[in-house]
Amino acid sequence: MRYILHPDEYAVVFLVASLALGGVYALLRITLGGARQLRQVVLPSKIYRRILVPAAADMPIGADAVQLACRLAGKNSAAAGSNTPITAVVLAYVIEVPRAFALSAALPEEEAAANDALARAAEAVRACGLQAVSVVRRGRGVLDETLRAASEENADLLVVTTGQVGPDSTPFSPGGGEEETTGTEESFSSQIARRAPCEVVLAHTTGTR
Amino acid sequence: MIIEIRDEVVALSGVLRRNHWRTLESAVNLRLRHHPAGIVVDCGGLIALTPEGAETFRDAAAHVAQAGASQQQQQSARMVVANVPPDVMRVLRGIPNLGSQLPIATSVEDARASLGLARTPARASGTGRDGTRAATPPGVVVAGLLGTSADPHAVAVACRLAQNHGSVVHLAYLLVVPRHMPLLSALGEEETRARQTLDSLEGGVRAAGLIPVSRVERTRDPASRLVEVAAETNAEAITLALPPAPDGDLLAVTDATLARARCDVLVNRLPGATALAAAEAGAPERRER
Repeated sequence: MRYILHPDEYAVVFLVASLALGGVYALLRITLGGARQLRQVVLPSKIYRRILVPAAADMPIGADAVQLACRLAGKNSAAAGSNTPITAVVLAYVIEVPRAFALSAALPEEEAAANDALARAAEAVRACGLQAVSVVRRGRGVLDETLRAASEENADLLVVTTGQVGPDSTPFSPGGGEEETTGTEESFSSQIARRAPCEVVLAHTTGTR
Repeated sequence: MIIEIRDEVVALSGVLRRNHWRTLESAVNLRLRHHPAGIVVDCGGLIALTPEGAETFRDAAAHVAQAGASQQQQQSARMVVANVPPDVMRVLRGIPNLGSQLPIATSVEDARASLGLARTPARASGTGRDGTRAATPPGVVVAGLLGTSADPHAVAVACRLAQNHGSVVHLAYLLVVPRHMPLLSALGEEETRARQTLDSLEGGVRAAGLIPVSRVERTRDPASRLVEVAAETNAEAITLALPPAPDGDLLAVTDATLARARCDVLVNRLPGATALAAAEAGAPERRER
């Protein structure tokens, strides 16, 4: 009688078949396990190196804006093994210079108010353990100069609270109020959120409700 | 089936074949009197669940929510299901309008924390005169998920806020039901996508050392529902995220949430490609004082 396999070959065939099945099983585990892992979303790291908080004469830096910037800086604010925080909060005060004056015109009252506001805000930032950078900027409009500051200061994040810009019924939808600030129908909040070169966090804080 | 009740935790074990709500009702009412925040249903001991047995959860959740409303509490009572075995979870999720609507926590402790009942302080902050740390009560942050690519950013900001308190992040996926359909209509693919999104984001929250509680909220008015969820959970803040080019509906939902919420609302707007390109086109050196 002729056998398909010689009895001496059974062990070899069994060994090869076991190895093949084991390999297929391992491959399936790796691919399916990897696919399952791929479904896990890694949250954005939200590491901000420079957080910009804007201010102006009619847009004061409130305690809530500073506190929010400090909270958003998170626990990555201190570099390992050093006393220097990673995150800097850039406090940018815009002095709106009327068109009748040159940009470099002396405006002692406005400059004094700017320095005073920045000093208080910087102290609050340092109390949170973060680095404070104070900048006074001059421009024709608060919005455009704020956006320019965000770009030039390499800001990762721009923080604006309703305590600064005032309550707005539709801050994000086109056609929201605040015409006085921008002279256009789109609100200050909406424009800054739309045109900023970095992430923006707009916050309505309960202190302003 | 065996039912054990201890404080606000109702532990079920065995096989839940039939609707046992009537058996549980008086005990749950007694618990709610002592624990008005709500109850936790510990399913760790459940071996199997049938669709008829799952109706127990539906009736219980409805009764708890109604009991809170009738007692005119500031914060309505809630029921959170915890410690659900995989087989039982499969049955729950297969039932339309039940599995996706039940708040589900990984463990009993997480569920208790989400009801504001954590026994141990989640994170300590500040130092007392004798050098000991003072405990801060855990805070709740609600991340509103609108079904966009920016949703992970809403969760990330929520985690950043919650890290200050070391506690619970509620992930509320807002599933908008069109007006021409009944509110409880099965939405099939959308509901599956919602659940998958929540499953994947929960992992990110846990990786941040926080407690996720996920929920799919079927609604016609997402802003109102989000505000209600924040009120129910006594949240300190709502976070939302907008993609670079949001459509009018997203903006309207955001504005409505900002207008109606009684807690802080943070909206994270991501930069658009054109704004980023303009910034990279050449910013002059920064000046510092």
